[in-house]
Amino acid sequence: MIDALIQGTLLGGYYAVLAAGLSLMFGVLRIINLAHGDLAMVGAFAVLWLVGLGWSTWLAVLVTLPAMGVVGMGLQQWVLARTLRAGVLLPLLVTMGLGALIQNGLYGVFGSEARSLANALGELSWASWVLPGDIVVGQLPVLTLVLGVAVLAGLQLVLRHTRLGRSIRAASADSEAAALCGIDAAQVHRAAAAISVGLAALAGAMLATRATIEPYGGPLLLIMAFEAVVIGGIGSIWGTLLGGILLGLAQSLGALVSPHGFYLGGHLLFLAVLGGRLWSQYRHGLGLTIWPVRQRSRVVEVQP
Amino acid sequence: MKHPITWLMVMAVLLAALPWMLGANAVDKLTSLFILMLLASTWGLLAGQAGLVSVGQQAFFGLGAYFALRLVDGGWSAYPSLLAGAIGAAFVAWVLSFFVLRLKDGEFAIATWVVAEVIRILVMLDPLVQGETGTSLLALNQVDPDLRRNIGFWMSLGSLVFMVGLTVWLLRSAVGTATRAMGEDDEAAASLGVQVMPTRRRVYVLASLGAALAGVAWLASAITFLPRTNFGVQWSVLMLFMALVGGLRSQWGPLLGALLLFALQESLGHLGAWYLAGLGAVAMVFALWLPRGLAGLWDDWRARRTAPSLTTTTPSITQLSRSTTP
Amino acid sequence: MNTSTPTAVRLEARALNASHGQLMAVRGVSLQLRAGEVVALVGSNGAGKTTLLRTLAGVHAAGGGSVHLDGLDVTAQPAHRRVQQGLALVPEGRRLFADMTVRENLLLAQEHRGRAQGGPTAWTIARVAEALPALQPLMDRPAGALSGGQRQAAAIARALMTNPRVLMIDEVSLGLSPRAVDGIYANLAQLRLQAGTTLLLVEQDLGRAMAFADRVLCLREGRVVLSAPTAGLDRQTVTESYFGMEHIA
Repeated sequence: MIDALIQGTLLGGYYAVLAAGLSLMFGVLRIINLAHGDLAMVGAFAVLWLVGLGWSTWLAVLVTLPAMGVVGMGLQQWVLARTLRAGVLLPLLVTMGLGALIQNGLYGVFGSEARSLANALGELSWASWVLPGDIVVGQLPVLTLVLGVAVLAGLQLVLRHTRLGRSIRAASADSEAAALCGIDAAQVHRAAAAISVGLAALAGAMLATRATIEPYGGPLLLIMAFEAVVIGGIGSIWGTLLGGILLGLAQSLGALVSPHGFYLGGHLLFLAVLGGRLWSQYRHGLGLTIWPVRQRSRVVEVQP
Repeated sequence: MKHPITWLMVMAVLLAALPWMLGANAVDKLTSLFILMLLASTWGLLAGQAGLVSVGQQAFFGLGAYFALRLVDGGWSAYPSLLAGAIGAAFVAWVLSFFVLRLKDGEFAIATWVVAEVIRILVMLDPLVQGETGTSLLALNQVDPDLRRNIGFWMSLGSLVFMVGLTVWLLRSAVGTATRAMGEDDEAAASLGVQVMPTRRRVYVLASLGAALAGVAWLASAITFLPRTNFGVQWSVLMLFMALVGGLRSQWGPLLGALLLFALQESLGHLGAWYLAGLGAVAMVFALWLPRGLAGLWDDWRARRTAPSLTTTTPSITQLSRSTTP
Repeated sequence: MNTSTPTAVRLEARALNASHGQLMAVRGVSLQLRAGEVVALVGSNGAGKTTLLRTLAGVHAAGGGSVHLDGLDVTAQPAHRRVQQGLALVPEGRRLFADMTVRENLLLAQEHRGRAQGGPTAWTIARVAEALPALQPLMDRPAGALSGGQRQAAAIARALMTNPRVLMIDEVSLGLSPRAVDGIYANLAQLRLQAGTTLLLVEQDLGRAMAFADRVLCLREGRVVLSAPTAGLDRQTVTESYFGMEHIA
C-alpha cells in the first residue's frame, strides 16, 4: 500500500511535465493538441535512436529537446496557425490526423519491437534506496520526479520573470491587448508551441527510462495529460503538479485492486472530478468550460 | 436533390437485390462498405453539422455488440439481440449525454475518448469477454454461412438506409436547422431561441445509434468480438478521414468519403502502417487546404459553372430567421 | 499650438473603409493629424468611432483605403508593428492584464517597444508614475483590482510605455466619475505640454471634447461629417452634425 503511494507520487512528476505542455498550448492557442502524446513518443523514439547510435543518454536528451522545440515551432507556423483561423473544429481534426500520421509513421520506421532506455542507463534503472521501515524506493523514479519538479519550477520562473514569460501570459489572457502593447502574437505562439512540444518530448524521454515505449502509445499519454490537468484544477503550474500526483496515486491504488485497475483508477478519478465540477456549475447555473480557464482571460495564471 | 428519401428507397431496393447476383466475396466487401458509410454518416452528422468532435464513438460501436453478446448468452436468439443491443447502446448514449454534452470542443473530444476507454475496460472485465481474448457470437455459427452473409449484408444496408434517411429527414426539419446553426455558433443560436441542449442530445443519441448499428452489423458479419478492435480508437480516425475528406457539412460528403476510404483500403491497405499514416497525412492536407472536402470542391465547381454570384456555401446564421425548434 | 508654420502630418487616413460583419462601419474616411495636435472624435453610438480607431491601430482589418504614419504606409502592417512604429491605442474597455500587476503591465509594453522608440527621451516607469501620480501607490497591485479611474490611468500609462508619437484613446471619460475625468484630462494636458504627443480622443462628452481639443472630427454612419478647429466652433454646429441636422446654407 505504502509502496503504491510512493510509486504513484513519483509517477506524478512525469505526468505533470506532460500535462504542463498540453496546458501551455491550450492556454496560449486555445487548441487541445490531440497529437501531444504522439509528439512525446517522437521525443522518446528520437532519444532511443540516438542512444542506439552510441550517444550517452543525457546527451541524447539534451539534443532532442531543442530539436523537438523546433518541431513545435514548425508545427505551429505551418499547421496550427492556419487551422486556428477557421475556428475550433479544424485544429482538433488536423491534430487527430497528425496523431494518426505519427503513430503509424513511427510503427513503419521502428516496428513493434519494445524499446526502453533501461539498458542505456545501466545500473541506474534498478538502483534503489532503502528507507526506514524497509520501504524500497527506486532511484530513477525519484530522479525523474526531481527533474520534473525542477523543470516545472523553471517554467514557472520563465513565465513570471522573463520578457518571454510575460508576453506569453499576456497573449494568453488577451491577444488583442497584447498586440496593442507591441507583442508579436505569432512569435509568442511559436514560442509557446516550442515549449509545449519540448515538454512533451521530455516526458517521453522520462517514460522511456522507466517503461517500454511503443509507437501507438501516444493517445494514452494524451489522455493522462488531460486527466492530470483537469484533476489539478486551477491552471497554475503547481496545480498541474498536484493533478499529476493525484492521477499517479489513483492509478497505483487502482492497480492494487485489479490488473486492469491501473488506468481505470485514473479514468474514474478524472470522471469524478469532471462530474463534480460540472455538477457545481450546473448548480450555479454557469455555462463555463470545465477546463481551468476563465472566459476570455488568464489561463496560465502563475500563482506562486 | 429533390425527394432524396424516394431516391434512397429506390437505391435501397436495388441494392438489396445484389446478394443474389454477386459472389460471396463481393457481398462481404459491400457489407464493409455500407458499415463504413454508416459510420461516416454518423460522424458527419455529429462533427460536420452539430460541431461536436467526438473521439469516442467507438464506444457505441463496441457496446451494441457487447449487449448483443450478453443477450444471446442470456438465451435470446441472435438477430433480435443484435437489434436490442444497438438500442441499448443508444440508451447508454442518452444517459452519457447529460454528462458529456456539457463540455465543448477539445474537452468534449477527450472526455468522450476517456469514456470510451472506461467502457472498453469495464467490458473487458466481464468474464464472458475473456479480457483481451474476446469472444464470438457463436449462435450465428448455426446459421447457414451464405444466409448469414446475406443477412449481414441486409442488416448493414438496412441500417445505412435507415440512418441516412433519418438524417436527411432530421436535417430538413426545424431540428436540422437548429443543429446546423448550433454547429456554426451555438451562442448565437441560443440567443435566437434554439434549444441547444435538447438539440445536441438528439443528434448525439442519433449518431450513437448509428455507430451502434454499425457495430452490430459488423458483429453479424465478422462474428468475433475483440475489445481492442471493436472499441478501438482507429474507428474514430477512420470516421474522421471519411467525413473530413468527403465533406463535413454536406449530407452526401461523408458517404463519398467512405467510398474513397474503401477504395484506398482495397488498393493500398496491404501497406499496413504506411497506409494508415498516409490517411492521417491526407486528412491533415484536407483540414489545412480543403476543409470543405470533396463535396465542397464539387459545390464550387458546380457554382462556377452556373450563376457566378451564387455559391452553395454552408448555411449561415441568417438562415436561422426562418425557423425555431418546436 | 503653432499653426503658422506647416507641421508634419503624423497620422493620416485616406479613404479608409472598414466593415463590421455585414455592415460598413467606416466609409471613405480621410483625416490628417498634425504633430502635437489634439483631435476629438465625436459621434453617436454606432457612428463608427471605435471601428475607425481600431482600423487605424491595425486590430481591425481595413476593407479599403490606407493608413499612413509619418508618411509611411502602414496599412499592411499588423497592429504590433504599428505600435512599434509609434502608434498606440488605449482600447475601449482598457483591456489591462488583470492578473498582472500594474508594474508588469507597464513593463510588458516597455519591453516590446520598437527599437526606434527607445532613447533618452523615452517614457520610463518612473516618468510615467510622475506624469500620472495616481498610479504611484498602485504599482504592485494586480490590475484587476483597480477602480475605473485608476484603470483608465493605468491603461494610458501602459500605452505611453510604448513611447508613442500618436496616442489614440477610445472613450476617454466613459464610466468615470467627473473627478476622475478631471484627473485624466489634467494628465493629458500635462502630456501634451511635456511630450508633445499627438492625441486622437474619442469623447462622448461634447463639452469636454470641445474644451480640450484643437480640432473636432464628427463621425456619422461611418462618414466624416464635420472637421473643424474648436476655436470659433459653436456647439450648435457640432450637435447638428452629430445628429444629422445640418442646414445647407
